[in-house]
Amino acid sequence: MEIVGKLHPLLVHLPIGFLIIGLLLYGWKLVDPTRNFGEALRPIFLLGAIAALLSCLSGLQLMDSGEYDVATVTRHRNMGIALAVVSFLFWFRLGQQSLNKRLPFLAISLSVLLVITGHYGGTLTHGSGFLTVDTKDSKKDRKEIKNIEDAILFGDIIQPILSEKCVSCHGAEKQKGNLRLDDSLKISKGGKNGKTVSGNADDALMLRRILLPPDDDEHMPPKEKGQLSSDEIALIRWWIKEGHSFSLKVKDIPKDSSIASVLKRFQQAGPQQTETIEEKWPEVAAADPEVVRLLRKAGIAITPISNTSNLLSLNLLNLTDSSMRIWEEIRKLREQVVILKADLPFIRDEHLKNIDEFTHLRKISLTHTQITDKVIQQLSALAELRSVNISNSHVTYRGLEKLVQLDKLRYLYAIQLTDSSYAQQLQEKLPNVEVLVKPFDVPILVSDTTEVVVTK
Amino acid sequence: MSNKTDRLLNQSREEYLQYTTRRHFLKECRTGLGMMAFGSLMGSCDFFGSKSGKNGVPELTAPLMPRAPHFPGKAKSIIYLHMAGAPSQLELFDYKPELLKLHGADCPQSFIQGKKFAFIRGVPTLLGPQAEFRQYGQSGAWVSNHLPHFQSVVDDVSFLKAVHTDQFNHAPAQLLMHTGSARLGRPSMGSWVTYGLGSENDNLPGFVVLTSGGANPDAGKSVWGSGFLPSVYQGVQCRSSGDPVLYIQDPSGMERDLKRASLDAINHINQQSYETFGDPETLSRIAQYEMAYKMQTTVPEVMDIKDEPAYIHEMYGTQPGRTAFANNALLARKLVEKGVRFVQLFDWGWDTHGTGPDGALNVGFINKCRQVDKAITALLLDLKQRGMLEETLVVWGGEFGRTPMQENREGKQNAFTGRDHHADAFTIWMAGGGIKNGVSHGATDEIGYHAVEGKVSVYDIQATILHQLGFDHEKLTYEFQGRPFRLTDVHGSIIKEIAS
Repeated sequence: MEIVGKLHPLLVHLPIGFLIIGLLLYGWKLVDPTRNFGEALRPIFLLGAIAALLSCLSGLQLMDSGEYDVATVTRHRNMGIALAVVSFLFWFRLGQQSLNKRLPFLAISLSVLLVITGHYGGTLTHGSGFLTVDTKDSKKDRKEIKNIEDAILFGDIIQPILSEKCVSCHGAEKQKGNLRLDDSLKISKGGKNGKTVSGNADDALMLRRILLPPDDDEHMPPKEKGQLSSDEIALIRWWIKEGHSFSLKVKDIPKDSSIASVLKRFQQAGPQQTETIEEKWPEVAAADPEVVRLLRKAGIAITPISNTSNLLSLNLLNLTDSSMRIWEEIRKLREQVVILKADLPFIRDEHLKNIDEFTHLRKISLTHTQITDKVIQQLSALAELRSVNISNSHVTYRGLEKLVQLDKLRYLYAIQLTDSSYAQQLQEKLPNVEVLVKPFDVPILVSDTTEVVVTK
Repeated sequence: MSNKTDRLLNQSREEYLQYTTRRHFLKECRTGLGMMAFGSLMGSCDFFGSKSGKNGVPELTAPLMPRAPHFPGKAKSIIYLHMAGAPSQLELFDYKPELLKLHGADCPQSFIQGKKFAFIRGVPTLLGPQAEFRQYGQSGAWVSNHLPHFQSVVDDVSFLKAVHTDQFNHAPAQLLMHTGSARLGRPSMGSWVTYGLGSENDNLPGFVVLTSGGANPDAGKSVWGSGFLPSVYQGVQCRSSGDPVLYIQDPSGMERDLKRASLDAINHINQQSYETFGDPETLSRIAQYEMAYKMQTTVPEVMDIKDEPAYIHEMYGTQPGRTAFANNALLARKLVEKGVRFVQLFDWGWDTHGTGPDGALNVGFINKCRQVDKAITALLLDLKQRGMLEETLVVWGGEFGRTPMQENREGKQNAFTGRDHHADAFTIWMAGGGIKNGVSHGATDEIGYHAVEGKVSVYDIQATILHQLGFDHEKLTYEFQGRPFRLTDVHGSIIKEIAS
């Protein structure tokens, strides 16, 4: 019999569909009396009424499972029954000419009932805040933890995690598996499959469900819902292992080194593991397709950085034309280019004389070229630069000093330049930049070229 | 007389009618029917449909033209180092002191009950780690004494210590790792990537495969096949000694312009054939002829490591002209530098069962480590000093791991120390291409048998690799047999702990 109840979420859409189409046609007929849907209207409303009746029966069955907030579900039930009754009444009156006068009012009440019943149904499945509250913002409600040692493990750390990831299905409105995780008493009580947090950590039902592979039907939270991060799991595991107290503070609970580092991260980042901050890319106009075509023909690989952006990455890999004509064309892409690789022996300062106009440039590679410090002077105007590679060019270390003003610079590759005694000072001047000035070497070991043989 | 002529005329007309009715379908309608069928096929493939544009199916005449991913990716190229045969994680990265204490003890029943092994039968004994471990770098990563060079680069690497697969035989496990299916017929990861991104250098293939160790991987060429993707995306296997690609040189006496002229003629005919039948494979064929022509000059050049400076050879431990993993590692760097999208290295000989000295953990395995250790370290450092590690993702791993038990083939202890295939937990590492530095994600139990924390699947690895390149692995799809296919099929989630 349980299956009948489970069909309820499916069945309810039938009366919604039938009744809405019926009401629309009826409304049309009122506005334009020449329309005669008489033949169609009655069967539509009969079907709607029968479907509403079936929905009511299956709904009553589902209600017995006790997984829902009693107040909301009672209101939903009452409205649903009323809806079924009014549907039958409407169908019946539709056939009787004499009673047609008050029919429009009945139609309006039918519509209102439909909306209210549907709304309560929605509240039961999606939670009460679904319509009004922005789900993303609700995460920010968590209070900041000043000192993690003084925090109450359950109240300040565990409960917020549960509220965010579990309570929408195991809370006041909806109690899947008869389980509520929205307050300490309810958590201790457990659900229909038994206690959630009893026993040692690895036997605790809550943790077992969390640790099942995401494809497992029993895995919690369900695959398509927001998942727990590994830090959050570690915290829950620790909480259960240490006796799942609801009142102890963090400082009173023994912790090993790994949980200490999790806590540290938790305090720094807040409970929500910081998503890597997506680098903001500027919005620019699309490049002139004719220029792109021409440059591609000349052997330049041009790739948009993504299919939603007009920014471009240029690699001059197969360019053989050393004339300025090509660079006049490249200059037309100064808005769009974010990555420029021109590692060609014939590249000179002259080619790059307008490089300071490429304001969005983030990465430039000019290895094995003939460029000098003049180009570095130009590059120092490009505030967005993150990575500069001028290995094996004619740039000097003294010239590189001009890059100090680039706040965003993170990588500087300057291998085999002249005046290398200056390298140490350069690194000191660019503390946030990984400056690579010497090629790495890998030591030679005896074992590199010898083999182990069988010893009997 | 007239009667006779009439009869003859009628007879011939009848014959003509019979002739047309029979031949009509077979001959005249062949193209028409074919095109109708093809049209419907193509309709479902969406070759010329709405999607072909920025995000859609690549231009068939320039299948390797560089294309944009779904979002700006951190990595532009991949070097995948596959140790074919499956190296033992317990002798390299997954340090299990508890296993040493239990060395020689019978394996508990709970571990072997209901479990299937490739070779272990009955009750095997536990085998302690056959290596010494220490922690290295700021990250404190555990590395064994078999990798004395690699110890110095652990802070550039992120380890996945609890990878699992569901195949315990080499060929299906390799197929699963590289094509997302243990059965034949799916495109390999390299094919998906070149299909999605194209290649920056149209004089070279977008996907190159290099093998060492004396044999190809057990799953054969299907691990770099293109499956149902256009065949231009399949991996091109190059050799590091002799002609890099077999028969790449023109036969003696054939001039380059004669070659050009004959290619032009062949392409012209192929083009006509394409216009008649519309088979996309014809365009693939034209593109491949053109690429082969260009490769005749570019490939020998890029595949020649003689011109590399001496300090580079010293760094990698390379000797030009040899077929060795080290040469392949250096070539991988050169190829990526030249704009190749995906370089796949297979090194055969890691299948350490302990049946003979070559497959013994204390003999052959150590020698295998020595063959790759310096070269892998050099590759990472070389990429780093060239500014290429920022955008080149290096992946190292096997197709599965090895058991904490000594293998006992047919119930008898093997002659040498060795371990059986183990699908439940093994180690893979990644470096560069936006992967975090010095993270160790996941852990196994005290003897390294089960994953207990941070368990990731082969599909998760594939999803993460595609993510680093800028792809949503659920959206990089290809319509085939009426449904969109993808590398990770219906699985996979990005390993956020190491991705960025």
